[in-house]
Amino acid sequence: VIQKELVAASTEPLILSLLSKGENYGYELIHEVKRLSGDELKWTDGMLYPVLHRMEANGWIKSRWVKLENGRKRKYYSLKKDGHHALKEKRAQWTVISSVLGGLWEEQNV
Amino acid sequence: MFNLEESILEWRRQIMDVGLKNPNVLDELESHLREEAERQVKLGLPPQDAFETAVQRIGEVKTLNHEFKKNTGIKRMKHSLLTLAGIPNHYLMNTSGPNSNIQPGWATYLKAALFVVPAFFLWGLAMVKVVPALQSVSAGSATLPAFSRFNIGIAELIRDHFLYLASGVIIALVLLEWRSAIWRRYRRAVIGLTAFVLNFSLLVSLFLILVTAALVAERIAHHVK
Repeated sequence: VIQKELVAASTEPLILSLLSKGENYGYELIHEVKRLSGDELKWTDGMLYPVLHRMEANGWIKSRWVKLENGRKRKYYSLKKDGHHALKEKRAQWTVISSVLGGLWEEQNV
Repeated sequence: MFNLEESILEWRRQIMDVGLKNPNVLDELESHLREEAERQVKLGLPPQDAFETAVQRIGEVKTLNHEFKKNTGIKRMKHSLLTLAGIPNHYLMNTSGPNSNIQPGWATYLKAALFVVPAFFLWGLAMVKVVPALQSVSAGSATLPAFSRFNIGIAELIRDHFLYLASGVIIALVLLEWRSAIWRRYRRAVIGLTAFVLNFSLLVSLFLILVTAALVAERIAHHVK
């Protein structure tokens, strides 16, 4: 299981990336991450929401309540223009880290 | 007998007790809780166990409240005060790496405008009311001290070409917003610094106009005697 600090650091890029595929809600985001990481990346469910709200306050994402057929409601989030830019920037940073580590480990394997 | 609705109400009360009172947040957490409890029931747990598991997964309410509070309160106040004073402080609101200096563009412009408005208003008033009066009693500006002639000269230049200047700045900003990818990153710093310098210059100019008015008033008083 991936350690806490790394999970925290990757939360925003993960949310931005998932939302860039389309509108989504908290519960589904958590399960999507769990599924994609093969259960390696685990969020404490509730902790996702302060992050979502902070990202909304930053102007990266926006939200809307949707009423479901069974009378319940869900809060859907989607990416805003600044969110696309933030994603681009985070992607560049994570790519650098990933390629540096990849390069180093490849060297050592030779 | 376990009652889901009652348990959820009780759970909401517990969260409110630790200080998390925003109904919007509570609704969202409740919506999550219901989905998770429902899934656990589908996986075969009895309703009460399903509910308890879902509550556990949401996590410790105190920690959650603490996380929500991080975005609010003193930190936000400090942030607003520093921003109003023109001091860059994105690190304050930064909770996750060096990217939070991308604040929404409108916020940067709005804050800069709000910051400059009072000085601009007073300066405009002085230009419309005080300067013409000063000139009428000083034969144009001819008999005014050199520093006021200089100050008023520049101020009049700006006043007379204000429309061109303003449209020039607006066009430049529109182009930057539209075409430049780097602008986004430096927008806040550049606009903040410009607002600060502009505000300072307006106040200096206003101060000089008032000093001149005081000098002229003294001269007239002397003359009348």
